[in-house]
Amino acid sequence: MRRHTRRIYNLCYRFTGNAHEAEDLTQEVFLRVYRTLGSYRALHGGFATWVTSVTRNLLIDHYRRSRRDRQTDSLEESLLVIEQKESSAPRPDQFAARGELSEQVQRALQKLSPELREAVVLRDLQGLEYKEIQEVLQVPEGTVKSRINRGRIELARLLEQMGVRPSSA
Amino acid sequence: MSWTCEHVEQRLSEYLDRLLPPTERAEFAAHVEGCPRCRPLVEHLGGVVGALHRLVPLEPPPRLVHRILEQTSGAEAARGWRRRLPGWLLPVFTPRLAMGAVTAVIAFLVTSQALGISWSQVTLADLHPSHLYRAADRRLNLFYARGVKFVNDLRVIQVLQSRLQPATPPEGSEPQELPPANKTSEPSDRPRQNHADEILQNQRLLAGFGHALPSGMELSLGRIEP
Ligand SMILES: [Zn+2]
Repeated sequence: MRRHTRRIYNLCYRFTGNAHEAEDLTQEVFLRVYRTLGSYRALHGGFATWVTSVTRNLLIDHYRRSRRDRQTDSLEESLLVIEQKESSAPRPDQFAARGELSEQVQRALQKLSPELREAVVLRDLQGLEYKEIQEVLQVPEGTVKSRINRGRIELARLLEQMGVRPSSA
Repeated sequence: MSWTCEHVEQRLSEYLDRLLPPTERAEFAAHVEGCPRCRPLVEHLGGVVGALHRLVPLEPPPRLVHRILEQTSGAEAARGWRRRLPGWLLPVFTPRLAMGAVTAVIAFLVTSQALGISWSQVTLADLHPSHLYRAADRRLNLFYARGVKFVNDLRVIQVLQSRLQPATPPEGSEPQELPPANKTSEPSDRPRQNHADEILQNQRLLAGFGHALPSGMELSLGRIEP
């Protein structure tokens, strides 16, 4: 239970970049999983893959909703949201030694389109195989490959612009 | 085949994830080795991917686990479920649509019984099984009959309502929240063969609602005693 919670929380956090939203969304995921357990069939992938799909769908819903909200908001309100987002980021001590990098990665991730962002988060932060990502996103194998690749290249480009060049070791 | 820089860029992630077959891998490496443009790209991307893999997962706040446990054990569901609904769902709970939700719950209960999914066993498991089982079975049959009747009654109401106000969808609702009128009139056109047919109708009628139900409603319905 705690393991699942941590995994889903991290997925939500990395996608939204907001600790508070990640918390609410994680709770929503488990509520939905709890209510739709009956629709779970162990045909495609395992239970974890299914929970990931539920999460992913919620994240996309959330993204669309908040984008719509942003469009109707006034400029001041948008600025306020950004301020709140930044202030509700996790405490620095949560990042331990690699803190700086984690924050920079998070900022760069936020600039990716949602399609590329989810592909990179699922692959490199959740450690899913290509096949599993294919099942979660319900897109062909070629699309998964190309999204992971474009997402990583774009992320690398953004990090380079920020002056971040992690060594491969 | 000799690789171009575009080929290399397209297959970069497969290379880093060691998904390229040996020959392609060798060709990839051969190009990168002698290409001043691709080499730094591969190195930088390798570094970024490595850094991503080494990121330490964040610990969710302990209260989150508590909230989830509370929520899924139904302890909190009984009080104030409306307050905890996501904001976008609130306008859905106008009286008319709430009735749709009630129907959905009943359809679910009816279906689960018809399919032999005995939600009653969960509550009975800890009690005196053989004694209570017969009583529960009878109660379920009654409840089933009532559920079907209730669903049919509501269907009539919905048909009436949609005829009365054909061109004015309620504000703030999305199309899938209302069952189309032609579907609701379908059952009267052909004879019903058995319960399963009817359940399917109900399910289709209420599709789109079943997954967004507040658990509080299920609880309160569960207490209806024949
Ligand atoms: Zn090249």
